[in-house]
Amino acid sequence: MRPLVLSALSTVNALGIGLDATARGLRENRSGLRFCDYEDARLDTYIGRVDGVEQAPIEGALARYDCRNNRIAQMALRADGFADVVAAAAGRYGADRIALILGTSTSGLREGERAFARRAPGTGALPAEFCFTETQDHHSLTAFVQGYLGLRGPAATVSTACSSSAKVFADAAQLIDAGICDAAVVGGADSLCLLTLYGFNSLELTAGTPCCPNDAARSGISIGEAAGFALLERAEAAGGAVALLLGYGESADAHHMSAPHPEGLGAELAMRRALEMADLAPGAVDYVNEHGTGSRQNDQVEDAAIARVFGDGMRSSSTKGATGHTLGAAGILEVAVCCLAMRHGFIPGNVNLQTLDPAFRCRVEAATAAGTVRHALNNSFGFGGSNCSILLGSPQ
Amino acid sequence: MIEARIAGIGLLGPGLPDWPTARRVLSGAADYAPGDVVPPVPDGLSPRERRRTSFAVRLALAAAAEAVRDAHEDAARLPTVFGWAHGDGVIVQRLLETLATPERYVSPTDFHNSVHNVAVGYWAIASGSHEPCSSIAAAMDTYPASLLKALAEVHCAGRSVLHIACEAPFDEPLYSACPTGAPLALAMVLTPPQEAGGIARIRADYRADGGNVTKPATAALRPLWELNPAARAFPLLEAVARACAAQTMAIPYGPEGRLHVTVAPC
Repeated sequence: MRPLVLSALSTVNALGIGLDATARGLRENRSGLRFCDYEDARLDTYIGRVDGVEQAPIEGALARYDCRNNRIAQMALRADGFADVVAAAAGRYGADRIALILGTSTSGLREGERAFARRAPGTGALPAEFCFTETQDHHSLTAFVQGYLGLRGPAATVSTACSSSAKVFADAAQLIDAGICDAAVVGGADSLCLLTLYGFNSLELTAGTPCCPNDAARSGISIGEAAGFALLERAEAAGGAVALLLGYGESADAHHMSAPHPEGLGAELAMRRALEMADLAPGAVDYVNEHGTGSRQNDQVEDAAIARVFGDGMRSSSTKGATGHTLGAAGILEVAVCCLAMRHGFIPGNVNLQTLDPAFRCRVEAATAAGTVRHALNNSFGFGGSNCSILLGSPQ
Repeated sequence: MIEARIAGIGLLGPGLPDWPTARRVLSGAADYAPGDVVPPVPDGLSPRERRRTSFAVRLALAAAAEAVRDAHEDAARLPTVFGWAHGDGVIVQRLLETLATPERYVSPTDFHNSVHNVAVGYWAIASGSHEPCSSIAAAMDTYPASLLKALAEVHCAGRSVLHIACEAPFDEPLYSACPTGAPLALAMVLTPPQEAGGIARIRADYRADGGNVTKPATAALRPLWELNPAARAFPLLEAVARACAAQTMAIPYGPEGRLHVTVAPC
């Protein structure tokens, strides 16, 4: 594909608000995880919770969209001057020429949980103030962001579980290539809710300790929350560049709804397809940000798949020990991690790693280290066997 | 503007058990008579997986399988784009009810079946396809949003793509919060414009011009068109079914957006 430019980028996650806070957290190798203190969830698990969400309501004309997920999205729109860059782009291209493609797995489902906890006795009716379309609906996030940014181009929500906000890059690149739009705002948001906390707990996938991906003693995931956005433009039209989108690779495991393919067939296909689209040799990639959830099976399968594609000793890490697994927001968050690694010249550490699983073939270091990253690959894999790899390049 | 060909169609809805029946209704050759929707048990899954597929998933997979058969395609070779606004709403509601109990004993099977891409996941397992697959939502605009994504993928990848639009209603009380009428699933195999054969040619473009919206000519189908996001396909399918001269329509997509679609016989 012809490379596209990421001309603006923003993130909100458990390490902090904005790219600078996130870069600082990554360099300091800090974990943003804490013991679960979310609502009245009574679970022995750790979470990557964003501070300040309770104090950041959505007000004014979009007040009906007020919910935790859209609040986190609003925080990310305000971070890193993102909304201002989009406004300038809308002035250049026209608001109808900018597509909006966002990923989420649970959107504002928390409002549905709250509504079902307050059903009318007798009739079972949901409270009258419950705004399904503006909160619980999958498309609520995208409709809110569309209203906030005043965009009028085609808008869609991708919901493929934990690969959602990685796959948005593919969809946006296709719409730009087909000439349907000139630029696209991509990204996503997922926020804490009881469904994911109790759901992953029911699958025995949540860890009782802060998650430690790639560790010999890893015992599961820590759920996090995040939002992030990027503006994608054609190279010749963009003013500045945070990073380049060089390729994407998508695949399906066709194996199981909640377990990865045992040989990592889909993961390998996604990585190879991204390299092929970018016309890059595996040796050109300096760093892989792994899906690396901390579950026994995911990390083992992914390590083997990376080693098959890139050879032994590939420099890789999972940053989910820092941010938690932010589910549908993991793609855009970890694309931002890759962009920060390229911009600031560091290889993100694998927070919480004590003893690398002895069977693993990738080179995974606990500590963040200085290093030049020209090309970085991000992996995002989701339930339903939905895999996506995003290949990014440094603009220098 | 994107061009493609429609190589195969599948449809399952109330009183519309398959595409040949639906084509007669949509072309005006037969009257519309609503009826129950009984999706078949999907092929290609293990007995355990088959038991785990819900009504909504079976509905989507039935239309997908019919379209692939109609196009004489190999399902394993096709990238897939699913459009459905609400995923499997019956399972989502059951989980919300469980989370409102003191114990919150969430069923692990319900949890993994609650992801929006549940149908595309089972479709990939049933068809053995490792090709890209996506699950798109855009509330009432899910049909044009997912169709545009599928057409853009045909254009970029230069290969055929399976597009499925499906919506099965919630139970109460969520149904009152989000009424979608009756269950409906439809699917099309879309191929690059230069490929031979097919049922019809299709050309699509997006414009935020706020122009008039095309409603189905079949008056009896208008109530479903109003409620069910997948039914937004009816004007397009009517143009295919009538197979006369080229016909242009505007599918509502966003407050002022329209997906302008021209359908012409091959």
